[in-house]
Amino acid sequence: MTQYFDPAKYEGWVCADCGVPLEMGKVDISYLGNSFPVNLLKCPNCGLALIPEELALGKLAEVEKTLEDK
Amino acid sequence: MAEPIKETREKMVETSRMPASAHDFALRDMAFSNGEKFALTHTPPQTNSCSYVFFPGCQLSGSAPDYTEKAYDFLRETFNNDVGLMLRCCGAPADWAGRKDLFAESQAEFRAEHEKLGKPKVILTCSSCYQVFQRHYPDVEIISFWDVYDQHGQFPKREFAAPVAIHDPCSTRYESHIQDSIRSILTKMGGEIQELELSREKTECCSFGGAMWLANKPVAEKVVQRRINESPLDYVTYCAMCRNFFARRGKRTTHLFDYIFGATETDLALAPAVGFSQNHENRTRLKENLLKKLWSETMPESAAFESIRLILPDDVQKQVEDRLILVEDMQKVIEHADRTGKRMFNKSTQHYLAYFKPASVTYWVEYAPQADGSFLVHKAYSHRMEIGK
Repeated sequence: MTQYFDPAKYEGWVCADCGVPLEMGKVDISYLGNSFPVNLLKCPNCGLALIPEELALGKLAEVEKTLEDK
Repeated sequence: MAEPIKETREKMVETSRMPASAHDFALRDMAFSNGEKFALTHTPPQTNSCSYVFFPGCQLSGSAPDYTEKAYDFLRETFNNDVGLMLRCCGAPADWAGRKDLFAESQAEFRAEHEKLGKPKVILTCSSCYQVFQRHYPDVEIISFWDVYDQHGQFPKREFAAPVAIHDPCSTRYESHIQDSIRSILTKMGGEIQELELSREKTECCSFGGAMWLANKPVAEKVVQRRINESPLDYVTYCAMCRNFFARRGKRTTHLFDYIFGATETDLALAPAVGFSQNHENRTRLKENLLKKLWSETMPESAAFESIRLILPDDVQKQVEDRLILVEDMQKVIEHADRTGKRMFNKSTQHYLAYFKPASVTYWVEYAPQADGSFLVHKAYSHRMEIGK
Protein backbone atom coordinates (compact mmCIF):
# COMPACT_ATOMS: atom_id res chain seq x y z
CA MET A 1 0.00 0.00 0.00
CA THR A 2 3.01 2.30 0.24
CA GLN A 3 2.53 3.24 -3.43
CA TYR A 4 -0.73 4.92 -2.33
CA PHE A 5 0.79 7.13 0.40
CA ASP A 6 4.16 8.56 1.27
CA PRO A 7 5.42 7.04 4.57
CA ALA A 8 7.94 9.91 4.90
CA LYS A 9 4.99 12.29 5.38
CA TYR A 10 4.09 10.37 8.52
CA GLU A 11 7.51 10.47 10.20
CA GLY A 12 7.17 11.84 13.70
CA TRP A 13 4.01 9.96 14.64
CA VAL A 14 4.38 7.85 17.77
CA CYS A 15 2.01 5.54 19.57
CA ALA A 16 0.85 7.75 22.44
CA ASP A 17 0.09 4.78 24.66
CA CYS A 18 3.42 2.94 24.22
CA GLY A 19 5.58 6.02 23.51
CA VAL A 20 7.37 4.40 20.56
CA PRO A 21 7.61 5.58 16.92
CA LEU A 22 5.41 3.88 14.34
CA GLU A 23 7.17 1.48 11.95
CA MET A 24 6.18 -0.15 8.69
CA GLY A 25 4.64 -3.57 9.25
CA LYS A 26 1.99 -6.01 8.01
CA VAL A 27 -1.63 -5.28 8.97
CA ASP A 28 -4.68 -7.29 7.91
CA ILE A 29 -7.54 -5.22 6.58
CA SER A 30 -10.85 -6.76 5.57
CA TYR A 31 -14.21 -5.94 4.00
CA LEU A 32 -17.26 -8.03 3.16
CA GLY A 33 -15.46 -11.25 4.03
CA ASN A 34 -12.33 -10.46 2.01
CA SER A 35 -9.07 -10.01 3.90
CA PHE A 36 -5.79 -8.51 2.67
CA PRO A 37 -2.37 -8.19 4.33
CA VAL A 38 -1.01 -4.67 3.67
CA ASN A 39 2.05 -2.67 4.71
CA LEU A 40 1.16 0.21 7.00
CA LEU A 41 2.70 2.25 9.77
CA LYS A 42 1.96 0.60 13.09
CA CYS A 43 3.12 0.51 16.68
CA PRO A 44 5.71 -2.30 16.98
CA ASN A 45 4.56 -2.85 20.55
CA CYS A 46 0.72 -2.85 20.62
CA GLY A 47 -0.01 -3.02 16.86
CA LEU A 48 -2.03 0.25 16.67
CA ALA A 49 -2.09 0.99 12.92
CA LEU A 50 -2.30 4.30 11.06
CA ILE A 51 -4.47 4.52 7.96
CA PRO A 52 -3.46 7.75 6.19
CA GLU A 53 -6.19 10.06 4.88
CA GLU A 54 -5.05 9.72 1.25
CA LEU A 55 -5.13 5.93 1.51
CA ALA A 56 -8.60 5.88 3.14
CA LEU A 57 -10.11 8.23 0.56
CA GLY A 58 -8.15 6.78 -2.36
CA LYS A 59 -7.28 3.14 -2.75
CA LEU A 60 -9.35 1.85 0.19
CA ALA A 61 -12.50 3.60 -1.07
CA GLU A 62 -11.83 2.15 -4.52
CA VAL A 63 -11.43 -1.41 -3.18
CA GLU A 64 -14.55 -1.02 -1.01
CA LYS A 65 -16.57 0.00 -4.07
CA THR A 66 -15.17 -2.87 -6.17
CA LEU A 67 -16.03 -5.41 -3.49
CA GLU A 68 -19.52 -3.95 -3.06
CA ASP A 69 -20.16 -4.14 -6.81
CA LYS A 70 -18.92 -7.73 -7.08
CA MET B 1 -39.88 2.92 -12.63
CA ALA B 2 -39.57 3.56 -8.91
CA GLU B 3 -41.51 0.45 -7.91
CA PRO B 4 -39.53 -2.18 -9.92
CA ILE B 5 -36.28 -0.57 -8.71
CA LYS B 6 -37.48 -0.71 -5.10
CA GLU B 7 -38.52 -4.35 -5.49
CA THR B 8 -35.09 -5.19 -6.93
CA ARG B 9 -33.45 -3.41 -4.03
CA GLU B 10 -35.55 -5.38 -1.55
CA LYS B 11 -34.48 -8.62 -3.24
CA MET B 12 -30.83 -7.53 -3.10
CA VAL B 13 -31.18 -6.84 0.63
CA GLU B 14 -32.84 -10.22 1.20
CA THR B 15 -30.03 -12.02 -0.63
CA SER B 16 -27.28 -9.93 1.06
CA ARG B 17 -26.23 -8.40 -2.26
CA MET B 18 -27.09 -4.78 -1.45
CA PRO B 19 -23.98 -2.77 -0.47
CA ALA B 20 -24.54 -1.39 3.02
CA SER B 21 -22.76 1.86 2.17
CA ALA B 22 -25.53 3.01 -0.20
CA HIS B 23 -28.10 3.83 2.48
CA ASP B 24 -26.18 3.55 5.73
CA PHE B 25 -26.05 7.28 6.49
CA ALA B 26 -29.81 7.69 6.03
CA LEU B 27 -30.54 4.60 8.13
CA ARG B 28 -28.37 5.90 10.96
CA ASP B 29 -30.18 9.22 10.70
CA MET B 30 -33.46 7.35 11.08
CA ALA B 31 -32.09 5.49 14.12
CA PHE B 32 -31.14 8.85 15.63
CA SER B 33 -34.66 10.21 15.03
CA ASN B 34 -36.29 7.20 16.59
CA GLY B 35 -33.93 7.23 19.57
CA GLU B 36 -34.21 9.15 22.82
CA LYS B 37 -32.53 12.30 21.43
CA PHE B 38 -35.57 13.10 19.29
CA ALA B 39 -38.41 10.60 19.59
CA LEU B 40 -41.30 11.90 21.65
CA THR B 41 -45.01 11.16 21.93
CA HIS B 42 -47.17 13.43 24.01
CA THR B 43 -50.81 14.35 24.47
CA PRO B 44 -51.43 18.12 24.35
CA PRO B 45 -50.40 20.18 27.40
CA GLN B 46 -52.85 19.83 30.33
CA THR B 47 -54.89 17.02 28.74
CA ASN B 48 -54.68 13.24 28.46
CA SER B 49 -56.29 12.67 25.10
CA CYS B 50 -56.35 14.15 21.62
CA SER B 51 -58.28 13.89 18.36
CA TYR B 52 -55.24 14.97 16.31
CA VAL B 53 -51.50 14.48 16.53
CA PHE B 54 -48.92 16.68 14.79
CA PHE B 55 -46.18 14.65 13.08
CA PRO B 56 -43.72 17.24 11.69
CA GLY B 57 -41.14 14.65 10.56
CA CYS B 58 -37.44 14.59 11.24
CA GLN B 59 -36.13 16.76 8.41
CA LEU B 60 -38.37 19.78 9.02
CA SER B 61 -37.65 19.52 12.76
CA GLY B 62 -33.91 19.44 12.07
CA SER B 63 -33.92 22.15 9.40
CA ALA B 64 -36.40 24.56 10.96
CA PRO B 65 -37.07 23.76 14.65
CA ASP B 66 -38.47 27.26 15.27
CA TYR B 67 -41.05 26.87 12.49
CA THR B 68 -41.92 23.41 13.78
CA GLU B 69 -42.71 24.89 17.20
CA LYS B 70 -44.77 27.66 15.62
CA ALA B 71 -46.65 25.18 13.44
CA TYR B 72 -47.53 23.16 16.56
CA ASP B 73 -48.70 26.35 18.33
CA PHE B 74 -50.86 27.20 15.31
CA LEU B 75 -52.46 23.73 15.29
CA ARG B 76 -53.22 23.80 19.02
CA GLU B 77 -54.82 27.23 18.63
CA THR B 78 -56.81 26.08 15.59
CA PHE B 79 -58.10 22.86 17.18
CA ASN B 80 -58.65 24.09 20.75
CA ASN B 81 -55.54 22.38 22.13
CA ASP B 82 -56.82 19.01 20.86
CA VAL B 83 -53.50 18.19 19.10
CA GLY B 84 -50.82 15.90 20.52
CA LEU B 85 -47.24 15.74 19.27
CA MET B 86 -45.21 12.91 17.83
CA LEU B 87 -41.55 13.50 17.01
CA ARG B 88 -39.90 10.64 15.14
CA CYS B 89 -38.99 9.41 11.65
CA CYS B 90 -41.76 8.03 9.45
CA GLY B 91 -39.52 5.17 8.27
CA ALA B 92 -38.96 6.44 4.72
CA PRO B 93 -35.18 5.74 4.77
CA ALA B 94 -35.81 2.06 5.60
CA ASP B 95 -38.54 1.82 2.98
CA TRP B 96 -36.30 3.38 0.33
CA ALA B 97 -33.34 1.19 1.32
CA GLY B 98 -35.41 -1.97 0.90
CA ARG B 99 -34.90 -2.74 4.59
CA LYS B 100 -38.23 -4.39 5.35
CA ASP B 101 -36.95 -5.46 8.77
CA LEU B 102 -36.14 -1.90 9.88
CA PHE B 103 -39.32 -0.54 8.35
CA ALA B 104 -41.42 -3.12 10.21
CA GLU B 105 -39.67 -2.17 13.45
CA SER B 106 -40.36 1.51 12.85
CA GLN B 107 -43.98 0.74 11.96
CA ALA B 108 -44.51 -1.29 15.14
CA GLU B 109 -43.09 1.55 17.25
CA PHE B 110 -45.33 4.13 15.53
CA ARG B 111 -48.43 1.95 15.95
CA ALA B 112 -47.75 1.43 19.65
CA GLU B 113 -47.31 5.17 20.23
CA HIS B 114 -50.31 6.08 18.07
CA GLU B 115 -52.46 3.63 19.99
CA LYS B 116 -51.34 5.13 23.31
CA LEU B 117 -52.71 8.48 22.11
CA GLY B 118 -56.04 6.89 21.19
CA LYS B 119 -55.41 6.67 17.43
CA PRO B 120 -55.82 10.38 16.61
CA LYS B 121 -55.80 11.80 13.06
CA VAL B 122 -52.22 12.49 11.98
CA ILE B 123 -51.34 15.97 10.66
CA LEU B 124 -48.31 15.91 8.34
CA THR B 125 -46.14 18.67 6.90
CA CYS B 126 -43.54 16.55 5.10
CA SER B 127 -44.26 15.11 1.65
CA SER B 128 -42.15 11.98 2.23
CA CYS B 129 -44.02 11.27 5.48
CA TYR B 130 -47.31 11.80 3.62
CA GLN B 131 -46.33 9.22 1.01
CA VAL B 132 -45.22 6.70 3.64
CA PHE B 133 -48.44 7.09 5.64
CA GLN B 134 -50.59 6.85 2.56
CA ARG B 135 -48.92 3.65 1.38
CA HIS B 136 -48.23 1.84 4.61
CA TYR B 137 -50.90 3.01 7.07
CA PRO B 138 -54.18 2.81 5.15
CA ASP B 139 -56.09 2.57 8.42
CA VAL B 140 -54.62 5.80 9.86
CA GLU B 141 -56.43 9.01 8.98
CA ILE B 142 -53.97 11.61 7.67
CA ILE B 143 -54.36 15.32 7.02
CA SER B 144 -51.94 17.65 5.28
CA PHE B 145 -50.83 20.62 7.40
CA TRP B 146 -51.06 22.72 4.24
CA ASP B 147 -54.76 21.93 3.78
CA VAL B 148 -55.36 22.91 7.42
CA TYR B 149 -53.40 26.14 7.04
CA ASP B 150 -55.20 27.07 3.84
CA GLN B 151 -58.51 26.76 5.71
CA HIS B 152 -57.56 28.29 9.04
CA GLY B 153 -54.34 30.30 8.53
CA GLN B 154 -53.67 33.99 9.08
CA PHE B 155 -51.87 34.68 5.76
CA PRO B 156 -49.53 37.52 6.74
CA LYS B 157 -48.99 39.82 3.75
CA ARG B 158 -45.39 39.52 2.52
CA GLU B 159 -43.32 41.60 0.13
CA PHE B 160 -42.57 39.76 -3.12
CA ALA B 161 -40.11 41.60 -5.34
CA ALA B 162 -40.84 39.29 -8.27
CA PRO B 163 -42.93 36.25 -9.16
CA VAL B 164 -41.81 32.98 -7.58
CA ALA B 165 -41.74 29.44 -8.97
CA ILE B 166 -43.14 26.57 -6.92
CA HIS B 167 -41.16 23.36 -6.69
CA ASP B 168 -43.55 20.54 -5.77
CA PRO B 169 -41.83 17.71 -3.84
CA CYS B 170 -41.99 14.52 -5.90
CA SER B 171 -43.35 12.35 -3.10
CA THR B 172 -46.69 14.18 -3.24
CA ARG B 173 -46.75 14.58 -7.02
CA TYR B 174 -50.26 13.10 -7.20
CA GLU B 175 -51.70 15.02 -4.22
CA SER B 176 -53.39 17.83 -6.13
CA HIS B 177 -55.23 18.98 -2.98
CA ILE B 178 -51.87 19.75 -1.28
CA GLN B 179 -50.53 21.45 -4.42
CA ASP B 180 -53.71 23.57 -4.60
CA SER B 181 -53.42 24.56 -0.93
CA ILE B 182 -49.80 25.65 -1.40
CA ARG B 183 -50.72 27.86 -4.34
CA SER B 184 -53.72 29.24 -2.50
CA ILE B 185 -51.68 30.09 0.63
CA LEU B 186 -48.95 31.78 -1.37
CA THR B 187 -51.46 33.80 -3.39
CA LYS B 188 -53.30 34.92 -0.23
CA MET B 189 -49.98 36.21 1.13
CA GLY B 190 -49.44 38.33 -1.98
CA GLY B 191 -47.21 36.03 -4.02
CA GLU B 192 -47.38 35.88 -7.79
CA ILE B 193 -46.75 32.35 -9.03
CA GLN B 194 -45.09 31.35 -12.25
CA GLU B 195 -45.39 27.60 -12.80
CA LEU B 196 -42.32 25.59 -13.72
CA GLU B 197 -42.69 23.56 -16.88
CA LEU B 198 -42.36 20.42 -14.78
CA SER B 199 -44.65 20.92 -11.81
CA ARG B 200 -47.41 19.07 -9.94
CA GLU B 201 -47.61 15.45 -11.21
CA LYS B 202 -44.68 16.08 -13.57
CA THR B 203 -42.40 17.54 -10.90
CA GLU B 204 -38.79 16.41 -10.52
CA CYS B 205 -36.91 14.90 -7.60
CA CYS B 206 -34.42 16.98 -5.55
CA SER B 207 -32.30 13.80 -5.09
CA PHE B 208 -33.42 13.12 -1.50
CA GLY B 209 -36.12 10.64 -2.53
CA GLY B 210 -34.90 7.06 -2.62
CA ALA B 211 -31.66 8.37 -1.03
CA MET B 212 -30.20 8.98 -4.51
CA TRP B 213 -27.88 11.62 -3.05
CA LEU B 214 -26.21 8.89 -0.99
CA ALA B 215 -26.38 5.95 -3.39
CA ASN B 216 -25.17 7.80 -6.50
CA LYS B 217 -23.78 11.25 -5.77
CA PRO B 218 -22.71 12.20 -9.35
CA VAL B 219 -26.19 11.45 -10.75
CA ALA B 220 -27.82 13.25 -7.81
CA GLU B 221 -25.76 16.38 -8.45
CA LYS B 222 -26.84 16.43 -12.10
CA VAL B 223 -30.49 15.97 -11.11
CA VAL B 224 -30.37 18.90 -8.66
CA GLN B 225 -28.53 21.14 -11.12
CA ARG B 226 -31.01 20.38 -13.90
CA ARG B 227 -33.91 21.21 -11.61
CA ILE B 228 -32.48 24.51 -10.37
CA ASN B 229 -31.62 25.56 -13.93
CA GLU B 230 -35.26 25.34 -14.93
CA SER B 231 -36.02 28.92 -13.93
CA PRO B 232 -34.06 31.98 -12.78
CA LEU B 233 -36.91 32.87 -10.38
CA ASP B 234 -36.72 32.20 -6.65
CA TYR B 235 -38.15 28.78 -5.83
CA VAL B 236 -40.69 28.17 -3.09
CA THR B 237 -41.08 24.65 -1.85
CA TYR B 238 -42.75 22.87 1.06
CA CYS B 239 -40.20 20.16 1.76
CA ALA B 240 -37.23 20.89 4.04
CA MET B 241 -34.91 18.59 2.10
CA CYS B 242 -35.77 20.04 -1.32
CA ARG B 243 -35.01 23.47 0.17
CA ASN B 244 -31.69 22.27 1.63
CA PHE B 245 -30.53 20.56 -1.57
CA PHE B 246 -31.28 23.60 -3.73
CA ALA B 247 -29.82 26.11 -1.23
CA ARG B 248 -26.67 23.99 -0.91
CA ARG B 249 -26.05 24.56 -4.62
CA GLY B 250 -26.71 28.28 -4.36
CA LYS B 251 -30.28 28.42 -5.71
CA ARG B 252 -32.40 31.08 -4.00
CA THR B 253 -35.10 28.94 -2.41
CA THR B 254 -37.53 29.41 0.44
CA HIS B 255 -39.69 26.98 2.36
CA LEU B 256 -43.33 28.09 2.50
CA PHE B 257 -42.90 28.29 6.29
CA ASP B 258 -40.42 31.15 5.71
CA TYR B 259 -43.35 33.29 4.51
CA ILE B 260 -45.76 32.06 7.18
CA PHE B 261 -43.51 32.17 10.26
CA GLY B 262 -40.20 33.75 9.13
CA ALA B 263 -38.70 37.13 9.99
CA THR B 264 -39.94 39.80 7.59
CA GLU B 265 -36.70 41.81 7.53
CA THR B 266 -34.50 38.90 6.36
CA ASP B 267 -33.92 37.65 2.82
CA LEU B 268 -34.74 34.04 3.70
CA ALA B 269 -34.00 32.73 0.21
CA LEU B 270 -30.33 33.33 1.02
CA ALA B 271 -30.33 31.38 4.30
CA PRO B 272 -27.68 28.65 4.13
CA ALA B 273 -28.74 25.01 4.02
CA VAL B 274 -28.70 23.35 7.44
CA GLY B 275 -25.74 20.95 7.83
CA PHE B 276 -26.13 17.33 8.91
CA SER B 277 -24.70 17.77 12.41
CA GLN B 278 -26.71 20.93 12.97
CA ASN B 279 -29.80 19.06 11.83
CA HIS B 280 -29.29 16.50 14.63
CA GLU B 281 -28.53 19.22 17.16
CA ASN B 282 -31.70 21.10 16.15
CA ARG B 283 -33.87 18.00 16.56
CA THR B 284 -32.54 17.43 20.05
CA ARG B 285 -32.96 21.10 21.04
CA LEU B 286 -36.51 21.07 19.67
CA LYS B 287 -37.43 18.11 21.85
CA GLU B 288 -35.70 19.67 24.85
CA ASN B 289 -37.44 23.05 24.37
CA LEU B 290 -40.88 21.58 23.87
CA LEU B 291 -40.55 19.21 26.83
CA LYS B 292 -39.57 22.13 29.05
CA LYS B 293 -41.98 24.73 27.67
CA LEU B 294 -45.13 22.64 27.30
CA TRP B 295 -44.80 19.80 29.78
CA SER B 296 -42.15 20.91 32.32
CA GLU B 297 -40.15 17.76 31.62
CA THR B 298 -36.43 17.24 31.02
CA MET B 299 -34.35 15.26 28.54
CA PRO B 300 -32.78 11.89 29.40
CA GLU B 301 -29.15 12.06 30.60
CA SER B 302 -26.41 12.67 28.04
CA ALA B 303 -23.79 10.08 27.03
CA ALA B 304 -20.14 10.71 27.99
CA PHE B 305 -19.04 11.59 24.44
CA GLU B 306 -21.56 14.45 24.23
CA SER B 307 -19.51 16.52 26.69
CA ILE B 308 -16.57 16.62 24.22
CA ARG B 309 -16.46 20.18 22.87
CA LEU B 310 -15.15 20.51 19.33
CA ILE B 311 -13.81 23.52 17.44
CA LEU B 312 -14.29 23.16 13.69
CA PRO B 313 -12.65 25.79 11.47
CA ASP B 314 -14.72 26.63 8.36
CA ASP B 315 -12.65 24.47 6.00
CA VAL B 316 -12.95 21.48 8.34
CA GLN B 317 -16.67 22.12 8.77
CA LYS B 318 -17.06 21.91 4.99
CA GLN B 319 -14.81 18.86 4.78
CA VAL B 320 -16.80 16.86 7.34
CA GLU B 321 -20.14 17.85 5.75
CA ASP B 322 -18.91 16.64 2.34
CA ARG B 323 -17.64 13.43 3.92
CA LEU B 324 -20.88 12.82 5.87
CA ILE B 325 -19.05 12.84 9.20
CA LEU B 326 -21.13 14.13 12.09
CA VAL B 327 -20.00 15.99 15.19
CA GLU B 328 -21.18 13.03 17.27
CA ASP B 329 -18.93 10.67 15.22
CA MET B 330 -15.88 12.85 15.98
CA GLN B 331 -16.86 13.23 19.63
CA LYS B 332 -16.98 9.44 19.95
CA VAL B 333 -13.48 9.08 18.44
CA ILE B 334 -11.95 11.58 20.87
CA GLU B 335 -13.83 10.24 23.89
CA HIS B 336 -12.70 6.69 23.04
CA ALA B 337 -9.08 7.81 22.51
CA ASP B 338 -9.04 9.73 25.79
CA ARG B 339 -10.58 6.87 27.74
CA THR B 340 -8.46 4.05 26.31
CA GLY B 341 -5.22 5.94 25.53
CA LYS B 342 -5.31 4.39 22.03
CA ARG B 343 -4.15 7.28 19.86
CA MET B 344 -1.10 8.51 18.01
CA PHE B 345 0.83 11.68 18.75
CA ASN B 346 3.02 13.93 16.63
CA LYS B 347 5.55 15.90 18.68
CA SER B 348 6.30 18.49 16.01
CA THR B 349 2.66 19.45 15.39
CA GLN B 350 1.36 18.49 18.86
CA HIS B 351 -1.57 16.80 17.09
CA TYR B 352 -3.24 13.57 18.10
CA LEU B 353 -4.66 11.10 15.59
CA ALA B 354 -7.19 8.48 16.65
CA TYR B 355 -9.88 6.25 15.22
CA PHE B 356 -13.05 4.56 16.42
CA LYS B 357 -15.62 2.34 14.77
CA PRO B 358 -19.00 2.86 16.49
CA ALA B 359 -20.86 0.64 13.98
CA SER B 360 -19.92 -0.10 10.38
CA VAL B 361 -17.73 2.90 9.55
CA THR B 362 -14.30 3.68 11.04
CA TYR B 363 -13.83 7.39 11.73
CA TRP B 364 -10.43 9.09 12.05
CA VAL B 365 -9.87 12.47 13.66
CA GLU B 366 -6.67 14.51 13.82
CA TYR B 367 -7.04 16.98 16.66
CA ALA B 368 -5.30 19.14 19.24
CA PRO B 369 -6.55 19.55 22.83
CA GLN B 370 -6.99 23.21 23.81
CA ALA B 371 -6.27 24.90 27.13
CA ASP B 372 -9.99 25.41 27.81
CA GLY B 373 -10.71 21.66 27.53
CA SER B 374 -12.08 21.77 23.97
CA PHE B 375 -10.54 20.03 20.94
CA LEU B 376 -9.50 21.73 17.71
CA VAL B 377 -10.21 19.39 14.79
CA HIS B 378 -7.69 19.53 11.93
CA LYS B 379 -9.18 16.84 9.73
CA ALA B 380 -11.56 13.90 9.79
CA TYR B 381 -12.03 11.03 7.36
CA SER B 382 -13.53 7.57 7.30
CA HIS B 383 -13.43 4.16 5.65
CA ARG B 384 -15.37 0.92 5.80
CA MET B 385 -12.42 -1.46 5.60
CA GLU B 386 -11.84 -3.08 8.96
CA ILE B 387 -8.44 -2.88 10.59
CA GLY B 388 -7.17 -6.18 11.93
CA LYS B 389 -3.91 -7.13 13.60
